[in-house]
Amino acid sequence: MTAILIVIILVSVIWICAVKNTKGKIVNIVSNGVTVWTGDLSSIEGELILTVVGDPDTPYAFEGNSPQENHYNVIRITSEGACIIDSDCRNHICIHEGITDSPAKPVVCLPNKLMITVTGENPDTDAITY
Amino acid sequence: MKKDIRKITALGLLSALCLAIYAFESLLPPLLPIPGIKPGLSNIIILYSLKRFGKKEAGSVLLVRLLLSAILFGNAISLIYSLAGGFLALIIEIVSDKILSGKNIQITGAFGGLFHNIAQLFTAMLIMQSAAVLSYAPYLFIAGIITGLFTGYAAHFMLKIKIPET
Repeated sequence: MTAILIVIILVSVIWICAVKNTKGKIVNIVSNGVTVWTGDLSSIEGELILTVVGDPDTPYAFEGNSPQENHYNVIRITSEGACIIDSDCRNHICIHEGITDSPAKPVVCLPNKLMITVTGENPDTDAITY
Repeated sequence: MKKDIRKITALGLLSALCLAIYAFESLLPPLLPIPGIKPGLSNIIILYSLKRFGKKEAGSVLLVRLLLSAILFGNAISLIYSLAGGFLALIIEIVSDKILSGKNIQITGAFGGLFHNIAQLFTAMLIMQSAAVLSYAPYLFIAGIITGLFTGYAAHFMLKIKIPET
């Protein structure tokens, strides 16, 4: 039984090392299962601030930083990646997750059902190693 | 009759203790910036109840704790996550305990922690309707095993305390 656990730990460590250095290009912001914004990292000049409102029926995103009443996240996108800088969730884990520019590290806010992923050039593959 | 009352009282105390541990743990700041990684200390009480009393008793302590913590501290979404994680962990712990013949409770705890995180990862995938959260999987597996080991050891020492029969 202990062997199973050790195998799982080893596989996990290898998994982490394998995806560590992958970089992505296309930012997808998904709220409540709906893609509210998508863009190319390299086409961002300076920084772009978006506020995402996670309304269960009609989630939407708009430019600017304006706290809303319920389920909002403020996202900052630069050429280096995307990160959440403000939200109304309880623990603010999403803010502490920091910036992401890799498919291996999505930034999520579970209470607001928000997910920011940075995928590779081809939407089907995240990374290719040779 | 007397033994039943003692058992009910003990289970009530254990449920309250489990809730208190969970409340305390929820005050701690997140250790790692990965959603879902927590010390999981309430597992100590569940393991203890499982070994000292039995499957049904452990299940009832878990259920009471989950419902009360959702009412007091959480919301509907957090209840879904907790139910999934808590009950899968308990089922796996029961199975693991059977397989290990009651020895090495820390390994049972480790499996409980691991599957608790697996269940929560799965629930997150369903709720977010996306497989991208799988990227957190390796971190959650390792953290689940380590925290499970720790809570298993703690339960092991807790079980060694002899309670006098009055």
